[in-house]
Amino acid sequence: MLQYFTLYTVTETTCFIIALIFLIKDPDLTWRILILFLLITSLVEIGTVPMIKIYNKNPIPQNSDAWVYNILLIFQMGFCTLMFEHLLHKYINSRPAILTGLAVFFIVYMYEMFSLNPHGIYDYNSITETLMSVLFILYSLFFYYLLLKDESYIILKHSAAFWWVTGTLFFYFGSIACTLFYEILKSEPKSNKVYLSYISDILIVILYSCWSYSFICKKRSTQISKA
Amino acid sequence: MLELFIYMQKTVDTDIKSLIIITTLIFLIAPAFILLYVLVYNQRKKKHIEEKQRLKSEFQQELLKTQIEVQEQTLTNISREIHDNITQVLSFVKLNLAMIDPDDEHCKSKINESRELVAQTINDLRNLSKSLSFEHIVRLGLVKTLEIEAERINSSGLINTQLTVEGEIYSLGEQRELVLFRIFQEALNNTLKHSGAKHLKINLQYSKLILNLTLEDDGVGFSPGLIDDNLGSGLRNMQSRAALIGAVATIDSLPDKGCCIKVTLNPFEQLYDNGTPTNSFG
Repeated sequence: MLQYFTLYTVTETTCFIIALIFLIKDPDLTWRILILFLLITSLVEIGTVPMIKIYNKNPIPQNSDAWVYNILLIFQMGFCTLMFEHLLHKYINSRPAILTGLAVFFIVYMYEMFSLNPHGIYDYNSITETLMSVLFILYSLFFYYLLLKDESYIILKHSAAFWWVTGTLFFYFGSIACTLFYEILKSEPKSNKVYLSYISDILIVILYSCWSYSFICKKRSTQISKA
Repeated sequence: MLELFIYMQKTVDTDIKSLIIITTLIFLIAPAFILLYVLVYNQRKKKHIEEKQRLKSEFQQELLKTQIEVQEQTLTNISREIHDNITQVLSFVKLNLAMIDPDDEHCKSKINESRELVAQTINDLRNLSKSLSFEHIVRLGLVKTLEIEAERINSSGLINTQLTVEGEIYSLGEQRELVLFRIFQEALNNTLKHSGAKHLKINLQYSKLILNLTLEDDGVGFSPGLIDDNLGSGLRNMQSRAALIGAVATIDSLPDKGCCIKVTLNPFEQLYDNGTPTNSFG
């Protein structure tokens, strides 16, 4: 039972619970949809715990959990893109940029899975993940630019959108480094890969802390606007 | 040979470790810098917006000050014209009428009647001239001016006014007293024009830290959300004037419940942001 309590499962489930508490009655559908996304992420994280054990006993690609994360990648892209569309839409018509990003993502995803991966879905789509990270970084920076360009002043300390984007920016910036090193260290001894897991741990904590705080800010702003 | 291989392996491991740590640090520091930049820029934006707001508010105050100065000058000119010209001419007419000595009794009574009417007109014009005159208000002070005004309204028979003054009277400075008196005139004008009130209570309350001027009528009242443009602009004007001297004008009214206008002033508060002395517009 204890094997299910990893840093990943605990942080993701905690963030899901926080989202459930603070966003369930939110009037904004896009924010409410994040609850579903976090539920899927938590379930994937818990579900892959026994898969890792099986893989460690018999490390063949068919036993790896890469196919689950390949599917999760689509959800990640879908939900986060929807959120970015929602946040950028406040300032500009973001649909063209968002749809272009989605199209590029799906082309690269399919190309990598069926042309580059030797074992198809059983190999992780790391190039697609890097591309997705780059897209999210660009969206985040664009959001910051629009936020600063906008004439109205907002208190960033209490801005749900700002903290959601900040968490995303930190996580995907860092995960680019992780993905690149993962490729380099594939053939290296396990001792070197442990640093990557430390970095991933830090990134996960930053991401879900920022997101949890943004959900609290969202609840607060909804209460204020209702009052 | 084996030792050399182990040594090389260890060196490669250390290099990889350093590379991972440095690159990761760069990848974490970069967004941290971006975040810092956004926070600093946003703070600057806040200051810029505040500065813009301050300038706008100063401009509004300057505009209002100029309007009031122009209005005061106009009123003073009218007051002088009434006092120096019209009342003088009327006095001359009254004198002329007195010099006529008609034999006809009917004619004599008509002349006397005319003399009384002229005298009454002269008196009314003098009072009007006083209430318009800036110098007159400054010379007599707020309380005395209000007393004269209340008396004038009572004698007109339009409405019954009752003036009460509480606390120890102190000077607020000529400009503040003048603005308070103009607010009073605006409120009175609204009461006479719109309220249909029979009674008007005027209360002036002096305390050590605060001064309250309250006007309460028993008229038809109004719903604050449903007022016409004329009345609305009059009420806004009162509030703007009050703000100019650092006072707050609150207006409470409900349909059929009369209206209560209260001006609250802290006599020791600075008038303007730009440090203009409290007793001066300029």
